[in-house]
Amino acid sequence: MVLLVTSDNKNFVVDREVADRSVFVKNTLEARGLSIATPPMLNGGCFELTSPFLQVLEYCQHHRGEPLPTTDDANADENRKRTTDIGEWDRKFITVDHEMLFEIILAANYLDIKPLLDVGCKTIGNMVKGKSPEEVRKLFDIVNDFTPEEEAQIKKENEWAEDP
Amino acid sequence: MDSHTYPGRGLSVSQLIFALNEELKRVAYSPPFTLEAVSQLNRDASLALATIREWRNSFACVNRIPMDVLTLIPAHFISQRDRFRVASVCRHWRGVFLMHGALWSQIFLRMGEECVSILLERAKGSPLDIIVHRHDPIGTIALISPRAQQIRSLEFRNRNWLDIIAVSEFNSGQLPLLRTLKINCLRTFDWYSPTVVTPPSPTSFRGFANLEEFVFTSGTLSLLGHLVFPKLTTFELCSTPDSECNALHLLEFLKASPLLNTVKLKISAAVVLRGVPQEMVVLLPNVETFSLHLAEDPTSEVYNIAAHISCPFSRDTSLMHNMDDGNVADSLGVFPAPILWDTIIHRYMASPIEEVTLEIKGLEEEEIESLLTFQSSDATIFRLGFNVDRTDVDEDELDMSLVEMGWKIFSQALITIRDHPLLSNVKRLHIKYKAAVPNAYLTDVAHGIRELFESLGPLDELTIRGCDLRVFLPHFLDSSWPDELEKPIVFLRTKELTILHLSMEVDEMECASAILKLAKSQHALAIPFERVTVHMEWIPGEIEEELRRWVGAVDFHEDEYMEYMES
Repeated sequence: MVLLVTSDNKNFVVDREVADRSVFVKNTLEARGLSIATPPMLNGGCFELTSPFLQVLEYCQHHRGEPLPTTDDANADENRKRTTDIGEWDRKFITVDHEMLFEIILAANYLDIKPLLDVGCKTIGNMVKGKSPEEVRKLFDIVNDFTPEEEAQIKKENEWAEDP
Repeated sequence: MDSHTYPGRGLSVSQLIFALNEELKRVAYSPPFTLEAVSQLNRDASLALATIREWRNSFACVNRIPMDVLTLIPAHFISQRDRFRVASVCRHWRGVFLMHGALWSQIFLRMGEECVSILLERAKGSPLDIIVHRHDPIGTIALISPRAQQIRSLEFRNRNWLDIIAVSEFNSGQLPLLRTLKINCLRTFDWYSPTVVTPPSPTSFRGFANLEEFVFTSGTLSLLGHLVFPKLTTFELCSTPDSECNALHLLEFLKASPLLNTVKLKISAAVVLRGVPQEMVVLLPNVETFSLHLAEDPTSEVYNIAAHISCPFSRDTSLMHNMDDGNVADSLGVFPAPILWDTIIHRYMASPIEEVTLEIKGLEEEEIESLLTFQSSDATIFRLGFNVDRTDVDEDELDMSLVEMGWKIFSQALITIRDHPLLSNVKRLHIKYKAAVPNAYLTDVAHGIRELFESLGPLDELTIRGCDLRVFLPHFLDSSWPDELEKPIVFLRTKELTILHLSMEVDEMECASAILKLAKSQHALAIPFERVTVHMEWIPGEIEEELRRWVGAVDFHEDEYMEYMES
């Protein structure tokens, strides 16, 4: 068992197999030869930590025992990227509001859980896919900050891309 | 409100903007200002406004995502259009995505010279995937010449063969990163002299030595004889020739690619083996997946071609062929003849067989699909497939009905299974064909099944799905078997028997009675079933109870009528 403590001082006791889904935790434990981990101090900032961390743990619990992606297979990495398909369970799991989605992505990135990071990025990708820039701005509360000259260049590029 | 103040001025940003606005109002329409000066002011103000908006966007939740993670979002896109669009959302996204060269590595030459130049600049040193369409001007191709060293894949879509040759010569040196070449070749020859196929010159494809994947869609196989890619591991061929083609070119190409791991061949024309030495065998020791599909194969050349290739370590092999002649099943050749079959087995599958599945499907009353699958204990799979499509056949030319043809194919499949030399380890046999046997064929089919069963050792599992039960249990049937026909004794030793969704030729009562008699017979022979599973629309309760006396376990399911019919 491994004790994980978030930066807002919440304790989580989890199986080693679950904790090892995080490359960060796995490496930390192996480097220190510990069976009880010192906390993976998530970078606090403005985030509420316990809530996304619970989600991350749920993900790790569900995927425990599955093979971890290897870093040395460039082709597999490329193939993994070139799709926006998400498994049924992952799709339901990641159906959360934007705020939580971004926090899960940040946590997955910090804890180095590549499959979860992929799921998060694919989810945003699926939200964005096929939408116009204006629709994407509206989706994420972004304003158009281009100058007219920049806009003219962008418009031309998008015309090139319309029918490649 | 911002709290920053500027030393010496004592003003916050807000105050500065307010003061600027007041000043603009004051000087507006003043004589010293020209149109040009005001236009410049307008541009400056746009820039300042853009900076403020960029600043505002930094507060958006999505922009809390670190830049390296943000680049993963468009990395999942296949469409180049989506990548352009996300780079048009805001300055932050644009800056991040434009810095990430891999996002811009897919280059369609049809986008034009200006766009291609921009993409090449953005891609920086990333490996490039170049797509050349039918009408792309050759001049655009010259743009990628200086970056030839970066090309990872090259795809020609609907391109004239002569153009492809010209493009393949654009670079005189090596293409060290090039791993994938996809050619969809529209025409192989000169429009004005269609019999002449221009072969590639010695300088064509010269720099393609590191090629690993080749996908070739072409109207002729003869071009293959001119191409040599010694490091090839994946080869996919889709050929729809205008006329008959010679497999010799294909065999020579395979011979020159000894490292092949995956080979998928589909040819939609009559194929001949002209000039192929009888003893010629192309050994491909690294192939793990091999499929050969001849889509118009009235003479079953698929097996003759397969016999000239050897993939002894293939884990997944498929030999498929189609015929559109309505009476083909009469002329044998649906499955390989015995000697050829023996040769093929030794070329592709040396492991003993553990599981055999025969599945025949009648489709739309015009088509039949049949598939015979052999699986070994190490999960190696070998498939023989045969499809007939009679959609375009004149009814007057047909000697037999589709059902009759189906049972002819079925009988041939039984012989093919029986003739497999490595059947001694078969543990599971599955037979699926939902059709009634015409009375004229009953005895022959039943004999075929008996002979097959006699050639098999004890099974762990026998599944009969949708079949006409009369040919499996003739000895145990009364009213549904014609009196004038001989009743062969059919059955074999198996631990488990599964009978699913019978055809309607035998009523439920007689069917259940026959299963009971069979169970008693097996028990009397000291080879009782350990388990019998039956799915029927209705099962007589008393028979189920009686059956339990003779069988280790009974699993009866009464299926709904519609489910029964649809299955």
